Amino acid sequence: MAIKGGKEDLELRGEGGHVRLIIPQRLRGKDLRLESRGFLEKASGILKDASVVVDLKGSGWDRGDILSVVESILLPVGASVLSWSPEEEDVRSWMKREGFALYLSGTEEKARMQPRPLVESLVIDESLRSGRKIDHDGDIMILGNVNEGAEVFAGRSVVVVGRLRGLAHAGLTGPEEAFIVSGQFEASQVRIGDRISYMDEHCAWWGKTVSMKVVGGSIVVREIVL
Amino acid sequence: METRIIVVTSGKGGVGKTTVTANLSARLAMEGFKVVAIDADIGLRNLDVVMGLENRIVFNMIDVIEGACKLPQALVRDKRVENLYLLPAAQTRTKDAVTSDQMKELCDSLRGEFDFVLVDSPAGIESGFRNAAAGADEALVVATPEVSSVRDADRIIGLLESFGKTSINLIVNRVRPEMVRSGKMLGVSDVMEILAIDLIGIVPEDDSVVVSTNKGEPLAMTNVSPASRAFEKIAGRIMGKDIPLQDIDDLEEKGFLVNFRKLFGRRGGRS
Repeated sequence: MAIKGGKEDLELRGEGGHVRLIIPQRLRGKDLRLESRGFLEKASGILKDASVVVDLKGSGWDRGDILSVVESILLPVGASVLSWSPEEEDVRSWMKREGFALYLSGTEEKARMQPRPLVESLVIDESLRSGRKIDHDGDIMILGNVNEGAEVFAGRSVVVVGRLRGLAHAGLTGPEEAFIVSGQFEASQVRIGDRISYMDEHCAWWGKTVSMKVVGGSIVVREIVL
Repeated sequence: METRIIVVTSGKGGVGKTTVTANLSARLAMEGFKVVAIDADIGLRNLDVVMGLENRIVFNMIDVIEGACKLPQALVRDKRVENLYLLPAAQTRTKDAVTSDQMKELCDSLRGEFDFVLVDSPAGIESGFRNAAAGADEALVVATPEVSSVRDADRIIGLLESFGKTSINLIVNRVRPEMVRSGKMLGVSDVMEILAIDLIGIVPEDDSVVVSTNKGEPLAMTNVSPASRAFEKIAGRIMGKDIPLQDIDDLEEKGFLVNFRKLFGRRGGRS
């Protein structure tokens, strides 16, 4: 099913379980607000409460343009965005950086759904002094401290039994399930996937036993009470 | 006794490696041991000035390595303390002028001739430090109670461990008890918690160190001050004596205010 005008018009397509909204480049900004009224008269029945993949054609889309799409088309009919599909790579990059859910191509989706190969966990039976760097595709467990100036990069999760003062970066190959656990958390920065969080001694969980993971695009810290 | 070769190192510059080397060398020599202090900071030599021997240098370590002179010709004997010698660095060369193997060979050639060889390492983690550590059996890591110094010391300890050095001891230098008590400076226990190696001594901040450095007279030779007492105790511990570590309060000059404070029970932590 498709509701469409000319080549440069707003377009709506049904696509297995969700609706795809295609927005041409010429409608970036104010033009979208003007054109959306007529479009919604025809399409509101389909878009109402629907899950939508939004195609952003052409280049140069910025935060203001995204806001226009939400305000002019999606909010009035209560549609929710399943994912965004920007055509231009630069737009895709900044949206990814900002934490937008991006539409994956068939190949990417297939790769994502593939069970990830089993990688052995790496267990380090000592503290890491300043200057040490540990890099491993799977989980990393440090049976000691990670001192300031030491770095741990894990494809999956990082567990530091002792004090974490250095840099821990978990989820390099799969941020969804990755977490960081520290017996005594005193690090000024942690990273999970492409998320970075900065902290200092004023944080409520400073010096405590904590776990950290990405929830809703942000790193969420929880104190572990044993 | 078997010769003990000890590298004095820190990672960070300006924490007192040269002062520690000069004072411990002098103190050990005053205890009757035959000691040579080696300045391994090639191109930036200072140990000769701190020991007050700069006017008597003829040859240096590079001359020995390159065969321009024999080792005994390059050793400068201290006339004030019997059995104390200096092997100076070259000031006009760079650290690339010597390799780790040459340094090791040089240190080995001193075995049997001396009781203690103290090697003053340059700052940093590059070839100068690696060369200085190459010939040593033991290490003294000097750190001040500052975050940057502790982090660099941690790096150095990691490198020394990777070189296979198993005897690594810590000297916490320039401690200011009042600042520790008021929470403005890291305490010795904070430093120990991070570095997790054995503490062999605590040296308080002491103005007489500056005076003695400028005069070229290591404190250990002439002066009785908090720092010189600390060096005396560290030398004793190196010799294997069982000397308890100082209380923070004992690091200060004795005087009316100290006694007054102690009278009213205000004490610092034991370190």
